[in-house]
Amino acid sequence: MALRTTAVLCNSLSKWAYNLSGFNKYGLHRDDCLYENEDVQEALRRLPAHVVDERNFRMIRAIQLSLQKTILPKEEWTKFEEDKLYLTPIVEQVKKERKEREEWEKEY
Amino acid sequence: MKKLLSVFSIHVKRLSTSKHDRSVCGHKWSYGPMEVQRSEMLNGIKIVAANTSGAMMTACTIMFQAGSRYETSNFLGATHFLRAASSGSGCGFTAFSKLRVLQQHGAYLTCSSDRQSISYTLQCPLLYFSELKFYLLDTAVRCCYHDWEISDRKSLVRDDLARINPEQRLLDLVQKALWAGPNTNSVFCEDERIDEMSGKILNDYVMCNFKSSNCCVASVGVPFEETMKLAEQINTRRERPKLKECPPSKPRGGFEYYDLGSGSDTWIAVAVPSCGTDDLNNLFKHAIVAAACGVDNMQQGQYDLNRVPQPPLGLMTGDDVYTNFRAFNVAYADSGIFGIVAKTKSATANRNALAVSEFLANVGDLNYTQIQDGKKRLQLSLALHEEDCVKVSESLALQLANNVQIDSVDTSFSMIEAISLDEIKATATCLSAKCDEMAVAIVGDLGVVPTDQEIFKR
Repeated sequence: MALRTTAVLCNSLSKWAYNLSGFNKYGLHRDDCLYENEDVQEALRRLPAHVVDERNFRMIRAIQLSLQKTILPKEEWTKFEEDKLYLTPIVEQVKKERKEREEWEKEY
Repeated sequence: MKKLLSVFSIHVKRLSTSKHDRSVCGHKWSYGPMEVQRSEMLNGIKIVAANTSGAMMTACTIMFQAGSRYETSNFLGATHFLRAASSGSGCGFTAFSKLRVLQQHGAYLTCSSDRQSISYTLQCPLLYFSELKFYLLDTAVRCCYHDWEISDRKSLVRDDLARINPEQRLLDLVQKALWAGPNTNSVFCEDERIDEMSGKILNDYVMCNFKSSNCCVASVGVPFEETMKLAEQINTRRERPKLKECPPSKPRGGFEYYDLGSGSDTWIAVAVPSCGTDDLNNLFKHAIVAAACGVDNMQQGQYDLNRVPQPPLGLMTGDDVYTNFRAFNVAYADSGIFGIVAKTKSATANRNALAVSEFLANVGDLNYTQIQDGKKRLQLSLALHEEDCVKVSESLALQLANNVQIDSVDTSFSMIEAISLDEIKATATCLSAKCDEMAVAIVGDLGVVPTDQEIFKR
């Protein structure tokens, strides 16, 4: 009972923090906001073309909304449940590969 | 009684540990016949392990009967990409790790394919095999073929096409000219299909063709139990999957060419159908005929005094050091190709093209002395082949795929000796009679070579 309450509480807190962050009002996903360092650029290179196109569309739409100092209608905001991490697993994989190379180069 | 037993046991101990007896009960000889063990799993994977005592380098091959002849229209060029992508990431190891770790341990992982099969071979010191075998498994069975890795390798495949050795291109073209059917499929991907290739196509090809019932695992220098454990990890299922039958290829006697430009060195091949690996005795006969014709110069050199040609083909060159003739015999499961290749300058290409076709048309005129020499040459090349553990491993896998058992070179030698000269002569006569089905391929200066009609008329 206590465990279920904690899980519900955590979920609600996550949703509240997600909505507070504000990027969802521009129709962006969490992975759209990642800073494009070398690892993220390599991960983007590995994404299928249609996923990259969708990302680019969302970012251009967000930039346009920001320029116009407006946001999307509420029904078009990105919902917490719909926000899938499409890039983060690939970024993790790229980081792992980079660390493997760096470890190797340290030793040999 | 007890005293007697104790005295007796002391003497027994002395007998077993005395210096004199230690030399009699010594270790196994380092050099001796290869012990070969074979088995087959319930799911169809065939296993063979050859234990060569004292060998420090081991080799292990995983072979699938999934060469380019099994490529359907959706999968054309897949085997070329499988070779290129074999260094890519798998489920267990990244591409970087595969290259570095293997190199660090003095190991090599190679992928080779032809029209019939594709094989992955690991060569490494025996000490590291238990650790490095997972790299072989990862490459052969668990490669991921990620889209980004395939895209990166497209430029490598284009480079491969640009760098194809003319003789390699010639042999590919002559097989394309000889057959109509799946055997026409080249081992190289067409330039137009490179951009269409993706990870999904390769994964689909592997799923359709890399089945346990057409898989063979062979090892040299590795204990049988280790090889068995490796084979068990390829496919854990116990049922034997059904295989799609490959439609047969029929000879068509065609003509293929590739222009290298005016004045370039020219390679000419003429070929007729021979036999497949399903008939071992016949295969040996064809191999003896090829060896009898001459497969290479015994000694090469820039000056004619340094060259020692293999008669009778070698003697056809005369004083011309720029011309080489050699016979070949390539066999797949149910079909094969026997032919002659000539490499020559463009000035003499016309004459030599007609000469090779005439030689092939009259190959039945080989005499018994030449056939006997052919047997010896074949035995020598088989003996040299035994020196390399990788070649032995691949040939054992090929034997498994064709349900043939040749445990050592001695077995091959006795099989060759058992074939009579008359039978070989009959085989050569049969090859001559197949001239109606002769195929021609030319790579080089197309402006100077005779047309296919002139060659066929000859």
